[in-house]
Amino acid sequence: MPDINVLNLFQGIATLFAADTGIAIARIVLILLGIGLVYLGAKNILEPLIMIPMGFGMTAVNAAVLFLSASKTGTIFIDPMLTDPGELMTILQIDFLQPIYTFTFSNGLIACFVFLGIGVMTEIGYVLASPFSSMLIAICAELGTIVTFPVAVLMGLDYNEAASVAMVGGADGPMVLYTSLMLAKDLFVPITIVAYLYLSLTYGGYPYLIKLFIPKRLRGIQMDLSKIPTVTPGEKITFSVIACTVLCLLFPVAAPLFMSFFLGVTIREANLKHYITFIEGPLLYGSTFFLGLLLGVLCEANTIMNPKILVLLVLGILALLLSGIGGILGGYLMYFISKGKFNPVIGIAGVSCVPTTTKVAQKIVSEENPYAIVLPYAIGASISGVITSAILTGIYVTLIPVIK
Amino acid sequence: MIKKKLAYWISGTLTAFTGVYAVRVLSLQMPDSSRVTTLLTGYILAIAGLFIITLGTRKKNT
Repeated sequence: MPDINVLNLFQGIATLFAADTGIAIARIVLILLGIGLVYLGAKNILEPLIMIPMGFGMTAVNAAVLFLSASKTGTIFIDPMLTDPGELMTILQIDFLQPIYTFTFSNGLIACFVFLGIGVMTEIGYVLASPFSSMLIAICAELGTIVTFPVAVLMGLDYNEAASVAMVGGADGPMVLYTSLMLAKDLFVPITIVAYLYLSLTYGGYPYLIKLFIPKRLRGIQMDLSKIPTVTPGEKITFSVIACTVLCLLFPVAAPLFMSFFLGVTIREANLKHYITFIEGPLLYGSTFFLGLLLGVLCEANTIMNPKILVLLVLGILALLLSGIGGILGGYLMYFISKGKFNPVIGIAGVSCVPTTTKVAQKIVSEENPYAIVLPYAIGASISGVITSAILTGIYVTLIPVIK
Repeated sequence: MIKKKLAYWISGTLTAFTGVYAVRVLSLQMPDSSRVTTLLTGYILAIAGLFIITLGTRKKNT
């Protein structure tokens, strides 16, 4: 009877023994983490739309490592580190997720699809109706995006990596993905994973931050909704076209994001029903699904194991925390400017993360005063947050290579 | 009121594009010492222009 090594029949297990101890442990941890993410997603504790495909991908890819040759291990899911065009052409025909990664992920297209979807769902009229408060809050809520950059440099990251992880403070997943793809391709997987993990925690975490910084009597302030002016679709479309043109002229590198967002807004206001149905349905959900799945699959132990991961984890939470505090400070500024008529809780909505922070703001306000409606103002601040995050993306992506 | 509204839109658009001109054209011709100032002024003008436009949308038609 031939001598058969049973382990070779189960290569997923055999590769565990063939790998370094650190990588083997990391694979087991990532498999368990993936299962945990699926569970937390299914229980709605974390954002299920991202976490279920991400957790599943993470578990599967770390279990599915096999021997590609006598001395080389890998998977037939994806190879994100390929740069040689010849090798890429071969792998495109082998790794089943490689075409989606190469043609939609690594060039930022998937981020633009998500942004197009956000644009279609965005009511920009709320920004135009209260531009001062919306923009002031949104600028304050970029505190984390701005302050984290020098902190990251002090912690040993180079300018490109520092700018990419600082964008977590903007609380927009697609923006973090886009910036890190442009500036820090080697670290884009861990940075984006950190961003999405933390972003899915904002719904649970920010209410504590609000309650810590805003006393009960201020949380229930009722806003005067009768002062909100009506903005016509024509005005919204004209503004979108002018804003898109100006921002694209200023920051051509971030133009795909600006175009996607404002095109979405325009499609909504022009009431192009077939496009709206397609973009906010199949395109947005399809992109979100593949975004989650690919992020999970990219969490293969060999790819994600990076000595900088701990630094990224610290900086990511710092960025989001500072942005939350900045947003609340913005809310307080508006409270004092309006002589006590503005509910400072709205400040948290400046940390875009559409639509989570707007829901958080309204939920907290309703707990204190069931008759107080702040949603229109919160949506305005949130959308301004998206725009300011995109502007900061443009600034970082444009200026960092020049500083270098 | 419509004229006033139009004034916001036109002045906002002009301000924004003046900012773009400062950033993309003027700053390149400036000496190193004043380039950063021109760039910053341009960015601020461009964003201020968009803000002026939004003020125009707040005026109700009569």
